[in-house]
Amino acid sequence: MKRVWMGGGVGAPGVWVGLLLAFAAGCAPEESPEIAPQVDVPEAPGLRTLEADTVVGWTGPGGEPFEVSPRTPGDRTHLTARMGQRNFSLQARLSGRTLVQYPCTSCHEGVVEMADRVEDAHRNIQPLHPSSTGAACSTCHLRDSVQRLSIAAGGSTTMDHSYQLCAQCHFSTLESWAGGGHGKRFEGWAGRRVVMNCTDCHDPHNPALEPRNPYPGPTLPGAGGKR
Amino acid sequence: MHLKAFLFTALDSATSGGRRYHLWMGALTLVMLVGGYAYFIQVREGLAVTGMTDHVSWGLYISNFAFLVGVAAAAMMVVLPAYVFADVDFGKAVLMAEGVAVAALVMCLAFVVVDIGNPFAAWHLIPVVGLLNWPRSLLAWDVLVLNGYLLLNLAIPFYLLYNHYAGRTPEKGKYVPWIYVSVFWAVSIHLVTAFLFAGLPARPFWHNALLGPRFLASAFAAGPAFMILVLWFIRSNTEYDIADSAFSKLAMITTVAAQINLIMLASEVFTEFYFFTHHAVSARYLFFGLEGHNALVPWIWTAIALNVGATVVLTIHPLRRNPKWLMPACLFLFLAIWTEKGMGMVIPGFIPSPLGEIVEYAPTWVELAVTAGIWALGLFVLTVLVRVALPIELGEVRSPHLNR
Amino acid sequence: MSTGREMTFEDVLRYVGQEATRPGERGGAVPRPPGPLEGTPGPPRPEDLFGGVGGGGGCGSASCGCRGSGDDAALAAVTSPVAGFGASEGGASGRAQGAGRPRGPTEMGAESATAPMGGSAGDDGVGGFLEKPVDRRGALGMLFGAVAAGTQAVSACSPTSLLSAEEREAKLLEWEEYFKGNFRLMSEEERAATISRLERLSELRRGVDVSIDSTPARPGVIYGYAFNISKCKGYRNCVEACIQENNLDRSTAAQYIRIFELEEGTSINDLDHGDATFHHEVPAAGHFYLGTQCFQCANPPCVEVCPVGATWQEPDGITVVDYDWCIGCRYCMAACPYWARRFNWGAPEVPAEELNPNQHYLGNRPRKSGVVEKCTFCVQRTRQGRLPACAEACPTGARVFGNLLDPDSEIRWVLENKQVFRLKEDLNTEPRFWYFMD
Repeated sequence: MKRVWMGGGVGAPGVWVGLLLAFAAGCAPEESPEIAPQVDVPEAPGLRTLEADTVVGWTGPGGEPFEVSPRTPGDRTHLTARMGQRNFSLQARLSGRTLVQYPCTSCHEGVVEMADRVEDAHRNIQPLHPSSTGAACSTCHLRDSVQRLSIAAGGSTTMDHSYQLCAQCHFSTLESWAGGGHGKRFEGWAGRRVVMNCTDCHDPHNPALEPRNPYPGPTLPGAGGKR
Repeated sequence: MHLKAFLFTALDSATSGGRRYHLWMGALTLVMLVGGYAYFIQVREGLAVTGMTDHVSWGLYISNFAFLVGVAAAAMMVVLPAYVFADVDFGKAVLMAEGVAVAALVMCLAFVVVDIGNPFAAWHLIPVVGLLNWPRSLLAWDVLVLNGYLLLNLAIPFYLLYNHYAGRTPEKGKYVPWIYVSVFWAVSIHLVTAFLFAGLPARPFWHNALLGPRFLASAFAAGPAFMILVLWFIRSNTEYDIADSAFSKLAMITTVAAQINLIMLASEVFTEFYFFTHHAVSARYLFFGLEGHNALVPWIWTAIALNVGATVVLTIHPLRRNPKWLMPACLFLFLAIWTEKGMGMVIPGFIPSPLGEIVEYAPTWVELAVTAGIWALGLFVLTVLVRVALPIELGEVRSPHLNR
Repeated sequence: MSTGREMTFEDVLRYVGQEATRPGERGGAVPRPPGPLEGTPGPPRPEDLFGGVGGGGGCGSASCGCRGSGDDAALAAVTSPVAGFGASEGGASGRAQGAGRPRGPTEMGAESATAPMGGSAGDDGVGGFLEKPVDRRGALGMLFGAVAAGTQAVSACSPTSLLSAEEREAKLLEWEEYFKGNFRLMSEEERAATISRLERLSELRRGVDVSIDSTPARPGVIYGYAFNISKCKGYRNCVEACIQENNLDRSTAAQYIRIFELEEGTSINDLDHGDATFHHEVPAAGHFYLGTQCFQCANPPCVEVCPVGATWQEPDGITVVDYDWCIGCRYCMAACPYWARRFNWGAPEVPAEELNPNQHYLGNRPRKSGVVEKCTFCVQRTRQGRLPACAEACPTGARVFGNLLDPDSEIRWVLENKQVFRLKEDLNTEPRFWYFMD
């Protein structure tokens, strides 16, 4: 019984005894708590209805499978909105689980090269990434199906699994993402692990986060300064 | 039957006196009333009306508290020789010393009460009814030892006075053991108070082993210095004769303590500044200021100057033996230690904050008024106690029930 | 915020901020996760959380007074929509049944006698509490309860009777609140009673219907936090979310979280060279950002020093404060090496419309003047499986939160796969808050 006095509902005399015991035991090293992975913690309510796909190719901590939430623009927790990046402004024409991306194919089947772009189409898309190799639409998009992402080793993937594309270069980041050291988890710390996709935070065409003004910070009282 | 008469006599002694006495008590009452009003504002508005902040979360109140615990503890320096070593010179000073202790303790408790943010919850401190986190919390220790010391210092003089009043000789077996207890208790109250600060690794300025001994040394300088002033006042204004030897012995105690205090100050300053480390940032703030923030710098140097000057005067025998030098030296020593050990010890502990932020502290008028009120309360208590004790000790009043 | 682009961008932020506090999301109307008793409909009631509750709160400090006051208590029960009188009804009848409809003394009595109870039915009433072992504090409570009843009886004949019934009820509840014990040592009945009083008081005093939770620590859970200093960009979305979630004082702009801006290459030793008051576009070139808050130390110095045991470490590692037991001595603030505690120098202010109604007794319920408060890793959220508000709000993913006892948790992954450090480790405080880099 460690820290006797922490027990709730002990009567006042019990506290006194407990205090003395705790004081006596204070110097003794506390026994390490038992590992109890099975925990009865409710899942955050938002997780119950959250749609997600199981991540292909990576497992989370302990080799557990985890899920990635598809891009659902308009979602409150959609971080491109929170980050203030407005590149994907197609919410009005999107609906439902099946149409997670506005189908590019309704206008064009294949990739249009930058030089051939129509004057006003996609002016907000400036493919700056990857800058080292020079970016073109076809760096990532399949030439003949703009809705799919090409994997250099062969094959392609959907935009819901765009992490597979990013992983081709950012493999250590992806490892961190799978483990929980990079990226964000939805809603809760317990239960289902649903994480955000790379493109939830990073604009794939210009992934660096933009500077902005912060929420107001503290002011030091008086004439206080800072070293 | 003596008891009732005793209480009436006490009330009578405390309320009668010359014009100067009434003026003095009236002035003290006025200051207390102003302090009471300021405290009323503080209770109504919260501690926001003080100069304290999340950064400097203790201020003038706790500074005074820390200092006054020392004054209370210093009574031991008179009690110990008088009772334990049966030093007759101190015999007459001892009741006054205990009066000073009681007054200082009353002030200590008052300063703690005005400092807490939720005084209505103070009953949570009462063991069993509330929940006193003893023995873990040093503040819980302090609550216990201060109240215990107050009790001892009320009970012992009362027993002696009451017996004198009733024409009996106090029985040694009944009070001497308690005197031994109170001597150790006196050391403990001050060490506990020092540990209250020194036990906090979060504040490197306090977290050093010298703090406790320095508390004692400064207390045994400031306390007897104050006692010399009080006794001198009593001797020059009443017929209560206190031997010169008592003064010279008290002055010697003060001198030695002040010298030790200076040595400790020097060793502290040396350790902090010989090879400047991060832990000395607060000391740098105190002595030299930090990044243009130097509110305490003039205070601490004034205090050190007074401290050194007074100690030098006390160290030179002819000057110490001359009241014209001794009294100012004692006064300046008292003020110097009040500054150095009060604000000079408490405030820099918070500057910079544990996260390196610098927010300075200056007391507001509310704090100053409350503080003045509490000092007035202490002086009021001391005056009443002395006023009651003197006639009994002089043999002027005795129980009317005695067969003479 | 001067350029058009930034305006748009701020607009987006504002939009998101409003979304985050939309009543539908946080309001009591949304069904909350069920308590430990699975399948309990509606919000968890205190008595659910403590399992079976014995009959009428016989020994609860304040309840005896109510019971003893006879007609007067009955009167109060009639004149008020009951919820606040959970104590007099016996914990078992609870808020969910009682809320919103007035009831007479007869019904009240009948219910206490017939309500299904975990404890013995005989506990109810005077006979019950005479049989109960009464400790000294309980006795004191009874005494004061009786005084309270007397006061109320007197007030019936005094000018205070001019007060509205609600005002009288609020005053009586506040009076009863004054004599309650330390939350950690309260019986389950006493906990339920104080919670119903506080909920009722919030309704009476603030006009906000709140739900105060008292979910205990989940077994097998110790919370840990990791902060990625290469990810944090200093946006302070965490600060904003924390203020809203935890009902922090708006009048003094209290903040639990501090984000320090440090020049790259400088020492983080005590953050001396950091600046938390920055206000310019972030991230600033050549700088990195490091956030502090309460680190929920495994060996918390603040807990050691509290003279009244008003702050303690819960079994899940969260150091909490019983705001109603704190005397405001601020010793804990002096003892904290991380400057994690805040004091209510004046009465804190939170506009009623901004008050987060989903509260925990040891978490974000509104504080009062003169007491200490601190970050609890959002105990009201985390014990329901949710992330702390700061972790959820972080736009950069710099904040990782989870169960340290679960080897398959994200926090454990970070601790095992990243190089981590903590602040002031030499102080042996064992913070459960690590910093790491990509």
